[in-house]
Amino acid sequence: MNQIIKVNSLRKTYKKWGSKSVIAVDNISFEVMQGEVFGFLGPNGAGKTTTLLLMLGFLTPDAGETKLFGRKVDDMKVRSKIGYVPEKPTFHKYLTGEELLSFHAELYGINKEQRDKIVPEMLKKIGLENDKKKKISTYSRGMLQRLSLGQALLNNPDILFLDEPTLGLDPIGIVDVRNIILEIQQQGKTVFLNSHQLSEVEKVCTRVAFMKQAKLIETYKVSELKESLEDLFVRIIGRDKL
Amino acid sequence: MISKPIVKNTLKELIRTRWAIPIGIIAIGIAILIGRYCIEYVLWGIYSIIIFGFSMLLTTGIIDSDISDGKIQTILTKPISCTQYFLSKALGVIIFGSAIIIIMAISTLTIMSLKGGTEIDIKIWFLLPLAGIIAHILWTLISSTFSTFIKNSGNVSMIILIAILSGTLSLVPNEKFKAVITFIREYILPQPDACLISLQEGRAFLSSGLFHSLFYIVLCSIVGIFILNHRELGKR
Repeated sequence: MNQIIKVNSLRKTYKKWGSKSVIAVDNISFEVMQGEVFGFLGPNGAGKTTTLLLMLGFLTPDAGETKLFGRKVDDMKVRSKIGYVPEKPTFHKYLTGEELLSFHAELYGINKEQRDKIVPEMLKKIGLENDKKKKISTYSRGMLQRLSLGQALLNNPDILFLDEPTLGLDPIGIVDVRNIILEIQQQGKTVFLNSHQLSEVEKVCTRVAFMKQAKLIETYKVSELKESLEDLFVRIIGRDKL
Repeated sequence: MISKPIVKNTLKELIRTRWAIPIGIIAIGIAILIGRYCIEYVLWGIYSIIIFGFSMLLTTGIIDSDISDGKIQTILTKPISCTQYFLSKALGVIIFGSAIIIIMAISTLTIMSLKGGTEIDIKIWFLLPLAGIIAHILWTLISSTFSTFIKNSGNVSMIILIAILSGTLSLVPNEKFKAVITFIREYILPQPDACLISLQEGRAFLSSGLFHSLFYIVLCSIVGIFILNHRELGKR
């Protein structure tokens, strides 16, 4: 299996004038292999989202680096192979769902003929076919989450970064997301998943890593766990952090 | 270098969310025709409002909102660089602004020709507002740069710096230089009568002010793009 994601000695400190600096990510290193569904777990404030933002190049690390497919994340060839679902998806409210997907497909360089085929298929896949002509300003939280997933899947990404993808979804939506993740994995693609939904993580992830107070504690293969993920989470993170 | 989907999306955004601007201009033009106020001064006032509006659109209205509420994150995980994004957004605003200029110019020419008896200098009505828009884009690029380092006081710092600089530089005994400094002081510093310049003075400013402000635009654009490229776009 190829190494798809390599994070090496990543460090990030948030500095504020007049107040104490906060170490958000403290010298973490890990790899993710091709075809894995890698779960990134930890309590609120552990540094999971900051790690993800560093990996995607939205934040500049104080030290360390991330490589995707052996290249830096600001390489355009890398960007054309990844998809990202943010924790709180926000989109241009004046666009309809269909227009937004078409816009993002065009950003991927997909031509009009292909867009006219891919966008309707994606709307059906994410369950927004009946709402495609409605403005995004009218969308519920769950609909925004589905739309966010849709824009990330348009280019059939080799790596999919998901930050709490089931937030705001009803049980049917959660099952849909699970099925999408499993479908992607069957295609040999890689998923990097930040989530608090341990039951879902247990069903889809091949390996999980625990983060606590800016540090990476340990990684585990889900198939080799001798206890439930929830028990393991409580044991590693500690009851005082819940 | 330019991303066509970003330009198209910016135009869509401006047309759908800022439709009041062209409608307002036409409405004001009709009101002037009916009210018969002193057309030149009122139109200069409208120009200054529109020019200021464009510069606000470019930063806080369009680009900053994408950054502050996180919309930019899903955009920049696509194969598009920060520089491409910024330039494309700017181009979208310039295209929209140019369309507004044309509407304004046509409205002005129509009103002036209906009023009768006044010489219309087309260069002044097109080039002076264009110079003003460019000057304000310059203003907002520099103040965005300042705002990156001096939070919440970029505009104030800009005003103080330009006032000090222009006061000092106006001592330089060079006529062209003096014209540039006067242009900066009267066009960029937000004085109430910033745009109430007579046609005669406007012609003098055009020849040196436009050329020099374009030079500063390019210089400050490079700085602005550098700063935007290095801004952190994520939230904890």
